[in-house]
Amino acid sequence: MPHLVLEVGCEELPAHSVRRAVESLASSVMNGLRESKLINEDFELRTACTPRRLIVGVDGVLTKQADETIEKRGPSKQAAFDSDGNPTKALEGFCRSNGADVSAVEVRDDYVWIRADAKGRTAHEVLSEVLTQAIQSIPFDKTMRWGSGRMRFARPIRWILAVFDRSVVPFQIETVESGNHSYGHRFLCPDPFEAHSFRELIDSLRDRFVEAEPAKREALIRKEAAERSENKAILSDSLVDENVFLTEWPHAIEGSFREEFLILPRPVLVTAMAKHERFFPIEDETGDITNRFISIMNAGDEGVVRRGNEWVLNARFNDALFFYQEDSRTSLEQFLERTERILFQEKLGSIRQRADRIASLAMRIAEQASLSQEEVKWCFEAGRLCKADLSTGLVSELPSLQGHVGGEYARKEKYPEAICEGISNHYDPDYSPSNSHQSVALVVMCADQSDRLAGYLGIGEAPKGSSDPYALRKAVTMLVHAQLGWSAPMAAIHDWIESAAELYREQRFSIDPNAQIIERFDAILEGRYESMLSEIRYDAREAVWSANHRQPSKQFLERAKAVAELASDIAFVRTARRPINIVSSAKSKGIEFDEDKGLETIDPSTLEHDAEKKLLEAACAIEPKVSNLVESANYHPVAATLRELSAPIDAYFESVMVMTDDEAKRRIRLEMLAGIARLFLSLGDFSKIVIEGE
Amino acid sequence: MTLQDLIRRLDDYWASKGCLILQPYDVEVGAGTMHPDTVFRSLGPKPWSAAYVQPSRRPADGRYTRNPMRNQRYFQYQVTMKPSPDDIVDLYMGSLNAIGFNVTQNDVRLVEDDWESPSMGASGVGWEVWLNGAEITQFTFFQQMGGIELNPVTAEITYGPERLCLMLNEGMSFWEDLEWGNGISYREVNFDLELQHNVYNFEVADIEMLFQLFEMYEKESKRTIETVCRYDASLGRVGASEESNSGSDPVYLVYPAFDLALKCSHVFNLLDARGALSPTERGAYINRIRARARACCLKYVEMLDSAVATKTSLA
Repeated sequence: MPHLVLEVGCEELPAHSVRRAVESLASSVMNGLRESKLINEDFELRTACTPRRLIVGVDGVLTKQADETIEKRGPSKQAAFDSDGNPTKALEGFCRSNGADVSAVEVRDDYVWIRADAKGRTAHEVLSEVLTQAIQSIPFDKTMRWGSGRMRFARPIRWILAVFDRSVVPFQIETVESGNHSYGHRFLCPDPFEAHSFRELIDSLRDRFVEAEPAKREALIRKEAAERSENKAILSDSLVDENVFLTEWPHAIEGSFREEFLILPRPVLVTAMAKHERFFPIEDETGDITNRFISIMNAGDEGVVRRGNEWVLNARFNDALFFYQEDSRTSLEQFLERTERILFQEKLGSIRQRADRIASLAMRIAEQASLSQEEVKWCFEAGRLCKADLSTGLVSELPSLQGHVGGEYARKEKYPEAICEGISNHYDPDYSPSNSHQSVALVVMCADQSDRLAGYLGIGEAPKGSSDPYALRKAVTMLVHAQLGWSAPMAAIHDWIESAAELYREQRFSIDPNAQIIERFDAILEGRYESMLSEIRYDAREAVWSANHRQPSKQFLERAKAVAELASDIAFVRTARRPINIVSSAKSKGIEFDEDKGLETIDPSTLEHDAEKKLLEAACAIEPKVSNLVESANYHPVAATLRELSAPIDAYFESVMVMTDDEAKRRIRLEMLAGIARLFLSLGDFSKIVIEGE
Repeated sequence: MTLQDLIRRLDDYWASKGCLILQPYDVEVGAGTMHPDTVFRSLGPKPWSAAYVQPSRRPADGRYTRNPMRNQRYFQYQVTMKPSPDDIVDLYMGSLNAIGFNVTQNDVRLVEDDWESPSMGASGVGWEVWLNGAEITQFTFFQQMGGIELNPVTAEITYGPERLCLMLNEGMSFWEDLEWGNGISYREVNFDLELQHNVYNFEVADIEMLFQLFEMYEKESKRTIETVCRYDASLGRVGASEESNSGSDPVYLVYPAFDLALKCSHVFNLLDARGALSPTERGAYINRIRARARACCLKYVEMLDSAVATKTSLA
């Protein structure tokens, strides 16, 4: 069976882009083959990839397209022939442009047609176009140009192997002409060699120190890393994957760094090894980090590479140790004082001032969130100290470790563990805390992000369009996550933001009034709900948002669920909308009535119709129940209870004309309906529910 | 390996590959890229290949000589080739062999790292080169300079010679393990300079004066680039005089104006080291420097098309 193999050879592609690139290349090639009818049904597609090559092999490609007869419609019969039946200019033109003879046209369905036999093209001809197109259309996150070329690709293309049925598919991309040769490992076997099939290419590469199949490289990395570390290397999936696409011929070696560096905090050791060097740290039996590591090499002499790896790690740790030792002469309290000199924002003062606000706010949030006395105290302390490490030398060198450094320093000074963890994890807390340490970190995060939001929004720095330089949308997302994950009741985020704004004012910062801050905050929150709660129908979300969005996120979510459930009951929605709509339209017309008049204060004897009296009775009967259920955030039974009003409301509107000219009657009726509307609105604004077909 | 040997080997190697060996630029710069022979020569169609050492100043990076591998002033070895040759990566690997790193014995890796210089309006795509895990080179294909899209593309290779030398000797500190040449240590040549500049940069530099200097350099750079000069037939040269032949193509003083933009950049770096700039102020100052650099680049490109510029540069 004829076989196609394509290899795009590049300078080193970004590790994260390789897998997706080869998948896209393969699917473009297959689409091209299908569209040009060059593929058997029992085809077989294979891919392989390394940082320097994207390889696609297809079995079952036809050598030639089938011949086809193509029919083409020309002008209408009327336009094609004059009254004498002679060909017109239009027909002659049509025939000329299609290379057909006027005598050869057929007349059918009032049109003229010509028939042409299309010779099937050879696979080589078609593939030249298909493969060029497939290579050019690989989507990369970021592309570049090189040399004097115009083409964009992730990195420069160096060679293209394109062979079908053992001969080259000829095409050219920029200065590179396709051929039948490939190259081995950049350093270990760089000379060209010929290959004519996927299997031959993969095998020949393997002889030349290139393992082209990523699954095999991964297996090798995992096996060797485990063997060399007696299964103690921390093999995180993402780091393994990165190494798979940083190498063509991976080989695990073990190295060590100077033992004296083990006094450095664990996050420092792990970050330098895993993040900066892509090495795998090794733990001991108790789970502590050892001074050994696994590195994955791609070439070289084991001894030379190990010495180099150890050199660079020792250099990095030497650097870190210098700062760590400098830092250790200073207490966390002193670092906190030094944050006085670090500006948070020109109009919002220093980090030191921020620390005091975060502490007070964390305490307030903790109290409202039903934490114990002791936990509240920890939240306050962790909040106060969480930014202290911004003045440490270690964080100035390794900014990604902010939080973790402070936590480690607190641990060294024997602060309670909850405070240490609160500091360590307040940038990335556990959103479903299961112990008080995790709770403290979550509360400190809430205080930290609420303070940022109140500050930036208070000076008008709201996100606009795609520009969100202070990551305020992310801050709101984090707060909503915290609200949804917390098991006890919490205050609404709005309360946190207002408390935060108040703390700014206590420090004599001039920020905008709460109403403005909350308006800006709501604009972000609405967008966040839209993307975070996308599984709930949008009109149910809008109904709850419109009725009352200033509520804890968990209640918002539960209410929206309850409304969504009712929303599918069209009869109920129609009934529920009527009092809401009529009251709001009366309001917008400026008609005077007391919209907050309690239902229980309405005297039934003032009501004219029976239906009015019955509705009032039914509403008064369920009102306490509804308000109890809403208060306890128990929304599903509310829905069931509200259904009890359906029949009396429908009966009411059959016999009562609300907008009567009798002002006194109208007033009484509107006041009663406002009370009924309130009952529905306590769940959601049903006027927002869209009924299909309306 | 001494530092001077290493630099000489790089010079010899790149000269043999067709690069002009240039000298450092004589205005303070934060990186070799800011040398006008990189900034301007990357613009326009004319091929260009050069290599040079550029002392680079980054006041905020100073560590009072306490960090064994980080200085406020250090060297960059810079290679630029336009258009980037197809075998530029292979050429680079050859340079590693030339200075004594056997590329089959060491593990050399090209790891994705895209570069940008906001103050020059420059950006590129490329790699950091790792040698056994240690970053030894920044390798970039320029895509933009002064905010102008580039074609042909210049490849820029930037080595850290001190670090390379240290690695070849398996040393750990510039100050303890590096020999400049002829038995004279790097410490002896550079230690006092480094330490004194640290004290000046962090503690002594007059913040008020620096703010004023920035304004002055910025204003002068703007005035200079906006000064239209022309070929004056009576003088037989280009001049700034109003009487110069107004019919000929204008000539802009891009080199002096760019020097003044570089001065702004250095003053900004000193202000940054003094902690005198808040995050938003930093952004605003970088934008102002970029505006000056971009104005110079735009005028440079404008003149590439102009007949007078060709005549004067040939003369």
